[in-house]
This record gives sequence, C-alpha cells and structure tokens, in this order.
Amino acid sequence: MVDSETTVPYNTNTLPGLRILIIDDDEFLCQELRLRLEDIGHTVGVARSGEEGLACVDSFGPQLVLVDWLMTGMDGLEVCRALRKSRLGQLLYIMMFTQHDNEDLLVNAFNAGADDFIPKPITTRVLLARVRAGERLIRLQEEVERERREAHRYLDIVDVIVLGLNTLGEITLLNGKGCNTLGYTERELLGSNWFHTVLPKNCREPIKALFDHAVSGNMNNLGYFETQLVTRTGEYRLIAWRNSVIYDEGTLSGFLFSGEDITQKRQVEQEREQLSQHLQQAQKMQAVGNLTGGIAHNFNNILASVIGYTELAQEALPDSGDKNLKLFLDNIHDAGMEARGLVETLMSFSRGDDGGRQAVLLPPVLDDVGRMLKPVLTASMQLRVQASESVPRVLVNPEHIHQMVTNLCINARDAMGNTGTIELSLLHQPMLSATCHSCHQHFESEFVELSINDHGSGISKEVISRMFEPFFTTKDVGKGTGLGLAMVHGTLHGYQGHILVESRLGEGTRIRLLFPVVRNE
Amino acid sequence: MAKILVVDDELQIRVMLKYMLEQDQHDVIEAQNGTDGSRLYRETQPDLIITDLVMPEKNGIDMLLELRKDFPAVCVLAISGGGGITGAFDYLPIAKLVGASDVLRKPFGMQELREAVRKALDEAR
Repeated sequence: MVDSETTVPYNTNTLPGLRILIIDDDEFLCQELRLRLEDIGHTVGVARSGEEGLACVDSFGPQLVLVDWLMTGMDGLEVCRALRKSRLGQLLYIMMFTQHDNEDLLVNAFNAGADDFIPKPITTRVLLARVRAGERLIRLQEEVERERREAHRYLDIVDVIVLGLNTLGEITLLNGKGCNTLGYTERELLGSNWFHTVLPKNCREPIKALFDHAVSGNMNNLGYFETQLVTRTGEYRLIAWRNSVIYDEGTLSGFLFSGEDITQKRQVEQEREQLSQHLQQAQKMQAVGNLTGGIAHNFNNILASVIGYTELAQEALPDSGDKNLKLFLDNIHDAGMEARGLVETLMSFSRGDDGGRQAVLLPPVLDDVGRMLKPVLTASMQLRVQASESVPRVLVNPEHIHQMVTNLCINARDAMGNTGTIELSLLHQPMLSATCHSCHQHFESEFVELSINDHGSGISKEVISRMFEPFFTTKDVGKGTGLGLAMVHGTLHGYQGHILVESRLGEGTRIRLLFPVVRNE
Repeated sequence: MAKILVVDDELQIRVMLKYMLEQDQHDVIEAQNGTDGSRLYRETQPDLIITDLVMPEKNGIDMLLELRKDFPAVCVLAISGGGGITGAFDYLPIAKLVGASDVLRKPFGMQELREAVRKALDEAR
C-alpha cells in the first residue's frame, strides 16, 4: 500500500485527461503526438532521451508513459526497467513504440515492464485507440486505489489496532492506530515479519507456535489472546487481540487481528487490586492488633494473680519448709514471668510502646547493637555495620532498636544457614513515598532508614504479606514464637514509622526500617 | 502503716493485694468498682487508692477524675493489664495524665508493689 503523500498526483475531477509523458529522441514525432493528445484533453510532457524522461518523472507525475524502443543513450527497455523501480513504479501504464514484431523480443519488453505496444509507423487512430484502452485500465486502477485508501481511512479512524498477517506472519496491513501505538509508519512495517519486529524476544516462540497452529487449521486458541509488543522506542504495550481468518477462494490466506491497547487498563486494574489487598491486610492487622490487645489485657490480669499469689506463697513458706514445695513455687513464678514477657511482646505489636523515647542519633546505637549481636552470630558469620553517614535524629527508645535489630538479625542468620555476612546500614531519605509492607498504608515523608541486608534464602510474596502477623512463623515448631516481626511492626508503628521488605528467592532480603525524622529538638 | 483503698472488680486481685499490703501492716479497704470506690473514699479518707482502670459500673479513670474535683490531693496508684478488654487501647498513660501518682502494669511482683506504694505514700506526705 502507498501512503497518501507518495501516491500519484492525479486529479481526475478537474482534469478530464491523463498526464502523459512522451520519451522519444525524434523531436518532430514528439511534437506531433503532443498536439494530437493535447487536442483531446490530455496533459503532455516531452523528454528527448531516457535519462531526461526518468529525471522528470517525479516532478511531472505521469500516469501514462509513451517511450520509444530505439533511442540513443538508454533504450526503451532500460527506461522501462528503471521506471518500474521508480517511486511511481508499479502504478505507471507504459506503452512502447516499436518496429519489432518478433515474439521473443516483445516478450522481453513485457518482462521489462511494458504494458502495451504501438507499432511504428504510428497512426493517430491506433495511437488514440490504444491510449483509450490504457486510460480505461488507469481509471480502474485509480478507482481501486481510491477505494483502498477509503477503506484504509475507515480503518484509521477506529480506535483499535487493525493488523493483517499472511500465513508466513508477514505484515500485510496495519492501520493508523497500530502505527501510532508502535511508532512506525505502515510502509516501514509492510512485508516484515510481525513476530521478529514487534514481539518481545521471550514471547516470540509461544505466540509463533500458536500462529503456526492456526495456519495449520487449528483455530482453537486464537480467538482471544494477549501479547506484549515492543514499540520503536523500546516501550512495552499490552495488547488484547481478537482475530478473524481470511480465506481466499476457500484457502486460508491470512489473518486479520483487531487489537486493543490494554496497558493502561491493566495497570489501573492491578493498582486497584493491589489497593484492595493492602486495605484488606491493613484491616486484618488492625483486627489482629485489637484482638491481641484484648487478650493481653485479660492475660495480664490472670498473670497478676498467678505471680502475686505465688510470691505470697513463697513468702509464707518458712525457710525450713518443704524443699520440693519451694522448688515448685519457684517454677510457677518463673513460668509466670516468662508469660509476662510474652504478653509484653504481644502488646508491643498491638499498640507500640511509647516509653523511654529520646531524640537519638542512630549511628552510635547501631554500633552498640553490632557489638551486642556478636554472640548471637556463629563464627562463620560477619556483621558489617555502615553507620558512618550523617543522619538526622530520630525519636526512639534505644532498647527497642536493640530488640528490633536483634530479631531481624536472628531471622537473617537463620535464612543464611548460619554463614555469610549481614549488613546493617543507615541512610537519610529526604522524601520517600511507598506502601508499608506491614501496615499497608501509603506514606510519603522524610525518614532515617535502617536496613538489614542478608544473602539468605529470600522470602516469598505470600510470606511477606503475612509475616508481620503475630504467631505467623515459618520456623519449625518451638524454634520461633512468631512474635519477632510482630514486635518490630508494633514498635516501629508506635514511632509512626514504616517497614519495606525487598526480597528475591535464593538471593537475599533487605528489610528497611523507616524512622520519622525529629525536627526542632 | 497506711490506710489503703483497693478498687478492682476481680476478687482474686483484691484478696491478693490485701494479703500483700497487710504483710506491710497496711489497713486495707476493698471496693469492686469506681462507684463503690468513690463512696468508700469519701467515707474513710484513706491515704492511698490502688485502683484497676477497666471495670464495670464506673471505671478507674472516671473515679479518679471525680475524686480529684473534691480532693485535689488524692493519692492514686493505677494498676492495669494495659489495653482494653476488647481492644488495644492502653489506659495506663491516660491515668497518669489525669493525675494518678504512679502506674503499675499488671502483672507485677510483690517487690514492685511495695516500692510503688512506698513511693506514692512518700509523695503524698
């Protein structure tokens, strides 16, 4: 197909005649023919040689060319071949003057691109009759071309991509929407292989397989499908395709696809889906927080009795009393105190703990934590602390930092199988916008970021979405309480902080603790 | 030796506190909610109130607010499990805000109670 700016500049409405170019070195003949042809309304241009003729084809824009076979310089056959290769090429109607009647020579001329012959000596009657015959063909061709452009205009105004492929997968048609989406002109894409030109490498094979399957007659999976396309600028678009099959006299000759660019739609859907998931998670964390708060309250009341009465009994028992009874009471007391510790952790999940806060610089705190963590780690493990960067102060209880980092480092240690390096680092984030992985709220603020990096087994998405819930653990029964991360969540959110988790399975995890920055303190 | 009003809706806790405090020769008066506590305070004028916060009828915070209007110098030690019965709301910091001398989170040991009581009484005198 030819773009509108490259089509033949004919104008059938205002000029009834054709634009005819005569290429002949016989000047007298040229003038004679020109008069005859202009007489019946045609517009005529004259060139005295093949070279001159070719030079003026583009500017004159003929529909019909009369060319002499025998000329000095380029002969008619050469001119024919060259014309066919020119911009107007296939649309020209070329007639050749000849004295030959040898069949082989005439066939040669047809092969070179001639459409008809006018035998020399030329008679006006024959010339005009043959031009009229040529004109009929030219008008038909123009009609076809006009209809074709009209059809293409319809295709161009629809807001879907219309794509035609032949059975080899070569592009036979692409409408305006398709061209705009992909960033190519139709001319650039026509004839090139669809699969190799615009499909991303990773989905070429499966889509080509689907296509070949369809070519061989199995259309089952081709009714609706989605593919990604790569535009000229390397951008990815997601397209939903519907297809119909083109039959040419009973045999399959190609496919016509209509495609909708659903990139944005899908993105919006995904964002909405994500938002609703975050909302659900946030509500769940809230509910779990309320529940644990309630349980903690009641447990503390019960424990108050357990511990208090045990102490009363311990005091009531004289030093000379039953040694076993003393041991039993001590054990009850120990268990009570252990339960108290557990409930404290639970409560830090449900409401955070605002005791003992001070505006501190984290680097020295982190150095402390590093020293205290050494015994927790095995000999084959290293802890690297990068706290040199100057960061603003944060309002925290340093003990909480110890607890949080210890919990996270123990997890990192376990994920790394007790070997490797854990990195702790501090960073100032002047403006960070994201969605918290534990409370699922969106935030945008200034933070000091404390991140714990490991090169361990990584955490799956499913686990990340649940791992801050109290009692959620992936460790073996008895190995973890499922409260470590719940405590981190509670404490950090008590500070109005947030948590981000980045993890790749088999590569490692980075937990980013975000502390709000203290100003004017 | 002091006169101490213990307000808690749980009998177990009241009895336990009574035993603990009597070991230190304190006189203990018991009330099972804020309404009773408020009334008994007016009647007996104790040196110290040890009160739970989450209680039926009238909670500890309301009782404390009411008594402080008439007795600005009332000495109160608030005890609570922290968190509400149905939620994560913590009343202990609130008690401190509305004028409790000190707060003690349940569960606590005898020694912690002893020290908190001594401190509260010292401050009151």
